[in-house]
Amino acid sequence: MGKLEKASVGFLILLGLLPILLELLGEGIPKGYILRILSSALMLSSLALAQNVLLGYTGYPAFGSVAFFGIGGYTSAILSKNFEVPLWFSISLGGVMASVVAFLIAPVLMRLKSHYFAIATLALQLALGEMVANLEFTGGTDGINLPIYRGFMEDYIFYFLFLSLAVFSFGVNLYVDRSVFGYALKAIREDEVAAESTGVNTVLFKSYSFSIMAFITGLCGGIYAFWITYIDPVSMFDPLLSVKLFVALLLGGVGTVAGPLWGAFGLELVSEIVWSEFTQIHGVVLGLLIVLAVLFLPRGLAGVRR
Amino acid sequence: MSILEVRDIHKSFGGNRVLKGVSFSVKEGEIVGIVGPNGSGKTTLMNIINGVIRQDKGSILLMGKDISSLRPSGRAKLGMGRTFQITRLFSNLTVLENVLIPLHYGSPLPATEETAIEIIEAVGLSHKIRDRAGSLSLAQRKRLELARAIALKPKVLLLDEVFAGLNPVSIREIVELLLKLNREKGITLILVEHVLKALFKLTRRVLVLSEGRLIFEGSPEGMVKDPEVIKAYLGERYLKDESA
Repeated sequence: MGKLEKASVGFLILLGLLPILLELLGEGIPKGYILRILSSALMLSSLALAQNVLLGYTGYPAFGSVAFFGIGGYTSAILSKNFEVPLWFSISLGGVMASVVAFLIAPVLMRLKSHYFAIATLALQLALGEMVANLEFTGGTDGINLPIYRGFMEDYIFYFLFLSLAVFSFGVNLYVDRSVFGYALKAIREDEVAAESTGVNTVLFKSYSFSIMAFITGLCGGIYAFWITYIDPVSMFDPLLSVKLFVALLLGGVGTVAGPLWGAFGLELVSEIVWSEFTQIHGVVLGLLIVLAVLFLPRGLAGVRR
Repeated sequence: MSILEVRDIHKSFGGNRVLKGVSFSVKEGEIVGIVGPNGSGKTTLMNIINGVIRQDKGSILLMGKDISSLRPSGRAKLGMGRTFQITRLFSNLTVLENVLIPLHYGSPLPATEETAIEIIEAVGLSHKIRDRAGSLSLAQRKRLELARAIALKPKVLLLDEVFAGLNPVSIREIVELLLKLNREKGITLILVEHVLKALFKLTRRVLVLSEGRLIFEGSPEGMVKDPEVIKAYLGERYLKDESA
């Protein structure tokens, strides 16, 4: 493992131990605030790491990957609300649903490449948002209210869910980076015709890659839904979330295992500061950051050392 | 028995009829050259045999089995390797990884580093094993493409202008390598080629493609004397240059 990857593992372990510290310190610190920021950063990390499997290793930019965030969130919310499926199970089914949908549409969608593919996935995201807003069982534009979670570790449950998801996503990226399975994806990224001619069934492996991305993104949507306790089409199919996860990914370094994690934490930290210091113009400042990152860190934070 | 059979292949791109019924067959262990002027459909024919492009009509048989409906990856697994006119490597991966991918995904050979290194040695790239494929020179890139194709343990190897852009020394070395592959491993070779001198060292049988049709089939000696081939491809000057 590279230095940056080891540091990431250490960082994730520290995050796992953090609640003990928070409990020991007791009432004096803003526990809720810290957990909220870290949970957001972990969520963004998972989304960026998921996208990294597709864009970084397979070369397909799914700019509308948030479509699967919505599918996961809505699937788990509806299951839990209407059929009283337990939290864990409904979140898992949300992920499964997202990946099944992705696997089915991938052979068609992934005939497109680069910008065209990015736009097609964005269209999917926006179209799904409109559909959900106009359907009865999804609650239309009113959205769905979910009960506030009470029970086992109620203060920390979502923090740990997001942390587990980030660890899982990190592991998936590590696996793709080092495995024979990953070779197939990288071959597709480098040259699809050559990949086919050397025996890689590109349609199949593109579909795998797309549905891995969708699975993680869908799980993320499910956890988010129960965390926020209210979902509507605007928040679950939000194009700004797509932008944010791409900025995190670009900032961190596309196609590296550790990059997306650091990119997400860096962006979350910066945008938190920008939010509180420059409330009026935070969009401008974030935009500037993107431009600077593209100009001076074309390979992202993880690419600086190289 | 013929190892590869091409039957009545037709292909149009929009209104442009590129191939107008091409048929030929290749025997096991044979070396066949396909030549013809630019735009005569040679590369399209290669792409159809390997499955990158689908024909409008006709069929391709590999060892008597119709492979027309298979994807290129399926054909690769049955023993069809190819190289490309403009090299298509996995540029950001190492030379070793470039060879490991076909070993893992399309080859009956054991997918180990040892096997890969052996193949890389055979094409003369042992000193570049850990280098990025994108950093190689043109001649090295062509060798690596060859290694990648050999890694499939192919029965038939399609070579699309493998000599183009190479210096005489590299050409001679690759000719020798190809002859060795053909003799020792019994690999059938089909070459699309403009470098006739190199081609004629390899093959006893040439097909000439012109405007989507085969206009000649026979020995190199017969080819250079064939009036139709001279008119469509070689030009009057070729004869003068050769006799001079």
